[in-house]
Amino acid sequence: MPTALLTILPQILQGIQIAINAAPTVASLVNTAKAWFDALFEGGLVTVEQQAALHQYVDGVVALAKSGVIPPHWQVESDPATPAVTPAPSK
Amino acid sequence: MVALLITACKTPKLAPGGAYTGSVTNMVGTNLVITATSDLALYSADSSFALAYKTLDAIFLTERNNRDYFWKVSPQIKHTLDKVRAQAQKVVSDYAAARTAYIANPTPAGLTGVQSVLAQIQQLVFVGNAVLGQIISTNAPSITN
Repeated sequence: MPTALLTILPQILQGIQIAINAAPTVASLVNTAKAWFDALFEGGLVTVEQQAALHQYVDGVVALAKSGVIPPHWQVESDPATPAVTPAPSK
Repeated sequence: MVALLITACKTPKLAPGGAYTGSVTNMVGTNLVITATSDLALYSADSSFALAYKTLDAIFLTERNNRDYFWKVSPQIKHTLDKVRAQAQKVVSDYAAARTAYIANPTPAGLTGVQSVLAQIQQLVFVGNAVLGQIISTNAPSITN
């Protein structure tokens, strides 16, 4: 196996693992969005329950914003420690 | 395709009695007339806002949960998303203020304000998607999600 591939393989596998871990979040996002937009694009009736679910969700976000509470992953955090650069050995 | 377009262009209706519907009472002659009203524009704006918010939330969470990996790929990922984070907090607050003002006094100008803020958060989603999407497609071509 080429050395370059061996070097990048762990990164690729880690990338795949990240995608797998993120899948439930993405699936939840898609399902929620589908429920909200179905009514709009099907040209049907947006039920009282659908209206309540959306209104409550946005009300929650609005309340959170007004309270000044910022979720940890929305905050700007310090950069990860960069490994110290080891000086090249003198020849 | 034509059927799809026709279906997509139909105007939806909000069921009476929902969170985005209300009623207006007017005197017509000697009679009280109650007219049902619906705010489809706010429903559409809230739908788009909620989707944009959830997308940004997923992007920020994915980056934070995998920060070491993304940092190794390129520190620029975190730096760019940090700029998006800072702007996103402000835009969400702006949307909250514009929406609250519009609900208190639903005027066309107020709705324009809501939609204007909405466009800003959608722009942030575009940037966030571009950053993570580009990195994932560059480093792991087999990932389809």
